[in-house]
Amino acid sequence: MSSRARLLHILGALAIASCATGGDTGVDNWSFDSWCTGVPCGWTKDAGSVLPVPTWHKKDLGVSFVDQGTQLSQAIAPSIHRCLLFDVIAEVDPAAQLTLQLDFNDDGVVDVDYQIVAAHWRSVAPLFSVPLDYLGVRVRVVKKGAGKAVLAQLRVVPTDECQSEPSLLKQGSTCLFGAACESGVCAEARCSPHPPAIVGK
Amino acid sequence: MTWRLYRVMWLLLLFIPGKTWADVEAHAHAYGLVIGASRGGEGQALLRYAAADAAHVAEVLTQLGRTPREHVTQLVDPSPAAVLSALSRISAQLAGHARAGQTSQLFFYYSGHARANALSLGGAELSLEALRNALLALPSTLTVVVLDACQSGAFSGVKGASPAADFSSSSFAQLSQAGVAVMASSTAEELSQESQDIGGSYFTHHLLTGLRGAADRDADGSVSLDEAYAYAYERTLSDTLRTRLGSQHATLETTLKGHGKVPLTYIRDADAKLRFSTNLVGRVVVQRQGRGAVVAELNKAEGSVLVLALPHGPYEVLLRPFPTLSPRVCAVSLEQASVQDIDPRACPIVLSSEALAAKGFGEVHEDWFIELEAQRRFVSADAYTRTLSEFRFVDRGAFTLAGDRGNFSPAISVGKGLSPHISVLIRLQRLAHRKFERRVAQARDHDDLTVFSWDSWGVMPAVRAGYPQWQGRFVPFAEVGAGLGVAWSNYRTGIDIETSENHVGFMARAALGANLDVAWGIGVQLNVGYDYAAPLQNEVGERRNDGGPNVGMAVRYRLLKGQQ
Repeated sequence: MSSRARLLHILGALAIASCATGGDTGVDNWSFDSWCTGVPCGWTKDAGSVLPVPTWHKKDLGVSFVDQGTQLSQAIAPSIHRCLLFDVIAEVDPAAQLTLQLDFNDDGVVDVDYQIVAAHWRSVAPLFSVPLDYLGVRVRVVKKGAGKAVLAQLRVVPTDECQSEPSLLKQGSTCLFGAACESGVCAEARCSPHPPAIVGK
Repeated sequence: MTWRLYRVMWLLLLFIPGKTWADVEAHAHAYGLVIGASRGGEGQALLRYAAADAAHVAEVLTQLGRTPREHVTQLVDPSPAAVLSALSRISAQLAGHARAGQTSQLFFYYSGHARANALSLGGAELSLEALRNALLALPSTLTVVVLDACQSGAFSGVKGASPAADFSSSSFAQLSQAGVAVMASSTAEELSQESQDIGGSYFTHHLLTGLRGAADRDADGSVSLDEAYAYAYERTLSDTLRTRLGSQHATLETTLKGHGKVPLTYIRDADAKLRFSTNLVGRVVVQRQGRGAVVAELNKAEGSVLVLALPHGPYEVLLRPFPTLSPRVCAVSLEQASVQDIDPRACPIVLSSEALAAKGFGEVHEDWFIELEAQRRFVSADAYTRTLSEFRFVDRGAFTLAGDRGNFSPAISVGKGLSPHISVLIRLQRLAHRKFERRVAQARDHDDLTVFSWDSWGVMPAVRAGYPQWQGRFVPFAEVGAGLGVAWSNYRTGIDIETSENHVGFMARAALGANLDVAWGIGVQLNVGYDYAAPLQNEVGERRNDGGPNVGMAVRYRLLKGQQ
């Protein structure tokens, strides 16, 4: 994508974000009860295979990440809140290394990598702040290892009840301002390790 | 209750032609030979009440049968030779009366074992033929023979388990003569029974009660053969209808010559009498004071006066007047040549089974009872409900049987008292009806409501140990039970997925409580307890205990069981 096109994409996303409400814009089908042709409805299977399995009740289904490298993801629209609370219920073997990845602005760059450590269907609730240039996020769950990994629920609740500073975007992430980048440099709408070269005449 | 099998009880009347019953009644010189043989032959169990039955018969003969005491010979476990020897001695005395032109009569009674054609006396046998010949040879005007005999002794004490007609029909055939009357305690197809509760055989017990006056229907002051038979027949049949061996029908066959009735006892001769008014209706037990023997036990009907002939002395009369069924005990001291009227209103109520037992009325205690209870359960969270909470289900609370919110549940118990202190019961109780809900966003424009609910019940047998107080009106108790908990769960989502499941699990209960009798067998109960009932289990292996601590209040109704 050219830098011009990228900039238009960002502006368009900003326009959408400016219309975003302050309500719950979490994931669809966060309880994995609905399945569409072998994949939880509303979710995208990026790799591997998944199966519906019972959780506490045979009809309350969760999603089992079968193979090592299996990935499920879903894009979430931006909100005006500063943080995102993830409410996760899972049954995970530590060796399975089930990981929650956040790709802010859905630009293909993983900005947050969080290993889900949960057992016996008890919830964990990591809290993450959004970056300054927040245009939405793709939530991805990846099974990096081998072993049992069943996700019963994954809710995302936007909130302002957090103290942390805005997350910084990784190199290569889409950006508008350098302050949003980890490097502090936003060149050609991408976080860059160094400013763009100035070509004189 | 132990029982033994009686094959036949015989009443033979041998009538010598030429004499009328009236002649016999007026002029008879009466003798009695009463035999109780507890030991039979090989394979025949030791009888418990044969000697006692014989002693009671001797008592009635001397008290009411116009038989002088010195004319009554009692033999206990005799040999065949001893029986024949006794008959021979009596025969000599009867011959003396015959030579003097006097009428005479003999009452012969035997209670013990018998086989098909013989009486079993220890290791020896006295054939029926020999007995018959000896009896027929007696020079008496009237001979009454009562044989209360067992054919075989089984392990349980049931004798002659196969209801063969051998003994009764063969005896009848062998003893059958002109003017013979046979009273048998049962038909050829039935078994005759003994009762531990009454300390004797049903038939003999009721026959003796009838001879003491309960059978005097025409109130002429004497009890005739027909009256005694009719009374004994009805009471024996009534008592044996509910026994394991089934009903028992006494039989009477007579070919008597003469006119009028054949009196067996004379109530007007009694040393003392108890009189029960026409208005009294209910069960009556008369017992010698303390833990003495039961001398009479009957159901008093309304509309007639009942007179019981008894020797003078102290007695206790237990009354269970209908319809209250509250037992009353009267201490009575019968004076010689007196008639004592019994007024139930003057007899104090006794509800304590211990008090009744101390008076010798045996195990009077609660019989069947039914309780309707309302329980308040104290619901608590556990791993099961915490998991529901983790899965974002919201507890909508508990619901009553009527569908309203609340923690009150019903229970019903039906039980029976086994002794004054121990009862057993079956309990059915509702444990819980719970509902949990969860809203799930399936898409950004609508939510689905998932509802999970269950309804659980428990059923179990239990044992209750009580300690009666205040004459049995107040009974604190401890109760334990174990059984099954059953639950029906329902999982319903907004996309029309509905799943119902049945669950079964273990249930146990421990409780402390107290019963309070109010009136007419109706009372109340208060109890506190703890139940463990966990039929419901989730896929994670967690069980839901729908029991927990509880308090209950019940209304109850009970019947009393007394000495039979």
